[in-house]
Amino acid sequence: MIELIRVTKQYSKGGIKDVSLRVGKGEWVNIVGRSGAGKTTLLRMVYAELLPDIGEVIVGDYRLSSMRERDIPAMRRQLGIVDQDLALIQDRTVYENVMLVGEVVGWTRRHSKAEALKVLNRVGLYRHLDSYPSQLSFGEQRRLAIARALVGEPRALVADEPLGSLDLETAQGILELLSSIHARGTALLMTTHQPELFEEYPVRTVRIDRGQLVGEQ
Amino acid sequence: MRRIRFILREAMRALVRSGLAGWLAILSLAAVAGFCSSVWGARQALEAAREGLLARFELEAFVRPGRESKLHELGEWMRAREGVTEVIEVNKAMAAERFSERYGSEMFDLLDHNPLPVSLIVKYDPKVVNVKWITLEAQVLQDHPDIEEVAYEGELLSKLEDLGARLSMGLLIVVAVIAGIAVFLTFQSVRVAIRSGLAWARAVRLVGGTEGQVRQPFVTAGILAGLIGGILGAGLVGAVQLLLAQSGAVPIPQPVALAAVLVLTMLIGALGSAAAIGRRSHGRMTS
Repeated sequence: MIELIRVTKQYSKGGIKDVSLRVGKGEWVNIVGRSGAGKTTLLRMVYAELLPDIGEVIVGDYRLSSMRERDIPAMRRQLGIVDQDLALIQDRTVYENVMLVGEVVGWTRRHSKAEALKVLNRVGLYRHLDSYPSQLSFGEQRRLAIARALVGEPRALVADEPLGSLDLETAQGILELLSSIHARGTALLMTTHQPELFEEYPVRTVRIDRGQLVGEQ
Repeated sequence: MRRIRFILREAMRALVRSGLAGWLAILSLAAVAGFCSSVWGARQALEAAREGLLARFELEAFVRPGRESKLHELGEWMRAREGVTEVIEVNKAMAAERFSERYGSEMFDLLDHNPLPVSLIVKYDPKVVNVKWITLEAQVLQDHPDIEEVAYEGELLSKLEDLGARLSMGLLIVVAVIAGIAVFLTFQSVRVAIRSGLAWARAVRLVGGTEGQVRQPFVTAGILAGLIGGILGAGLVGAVQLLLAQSGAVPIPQPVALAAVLVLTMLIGALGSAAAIGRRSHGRMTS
């Protein structure tokens, strides 16, 4: 589903070096490592927000090296993306934030609405349809970002620190949500600081340090 | 159709997000529209006044002494010329009558003959009369072997043309300055909208939106500001002009002129927003 082949991306401070990683269909892969280890860089290359200096990134049928820039949106539609900063639209309600996907893709209003309500129900935000992101707790904001990423049933969910800055109870709730998403056959690729929280889940953990993969569990 | 709806909806939101800057842009575009409409109206009024004056413009060609018998032939020749609306053949008796009306008949009492030359008084279509044209026309007449002298009020024509040209140039400069201000304010308002819409732009990209879907709403916001400003400015001036037209002070506003003003303000709006997006492209607007 997602494959990185000998990918290198260098910045003045850090980046990643010669990273190869494969996430199979329905697989759950966590990338763990310290801050600045290169987790976010790696993830952003998967959805082509960053382009590798060397190497190849494959997402479904798309190969980043031979892909035209105008194909990037279509490639991203195969993924559900949860960014570290969540990228929620603050002046729109929970419902409107999720409806955005259908509007962008060009679905009918009826179809967009059905999809939005379905995912909001799945993530447990059905009762907050008219709330604005600022009125939600951190955990609920994560759920909203996940809900938006799930619209259209993507084949893989890519999430950057979905449990970051959450208390244990809230993090457990998000984990259960992610587990239920995985149980439906969606591949998960995510970064985390807290690998210990995933011990009970069928997760392959990949460790990254100073831009290089250093181990796998 | 859904894409157009999406762009229009997001453009309206972008315009609202730009707040005070957006209102300033709309007001400046309204000023452009109002001023352009006023200029158009003023030009129409000036043109009407000019035509009124030129309708009274006449040229007099004096026939060479001894060729008086050619007067009618010359008259027919003049009538066939382009732009001529009326030719009056002034024979000796009519010339004396005209002279007496202006200066009295004492001169004829002193002289035992009528020394006045016969002439042709020529009137032209006001639409074709201008300094260059009338100078050429006078030269053609002057070169005719049967005509001794040509007289006309060249100074009046020059003054009218000069006034028209100065007025047009002055108004054009003012319109250009206001349009420049409008472009700048639209540029600023769209910049504000872009800055406050970065989270939106990022969200659209993350869910698979195209660059067009991110950029077009901002360009459309500028066009919408132009449309709203244009309707406000041109509408207001058009209404005033319509009221004045009832008393005959100014001509009735032309729908074509109003449409042209709207197109102009929309173009200015598009230009301002395109500049803002172009500038932003080098920064955080692209991922």
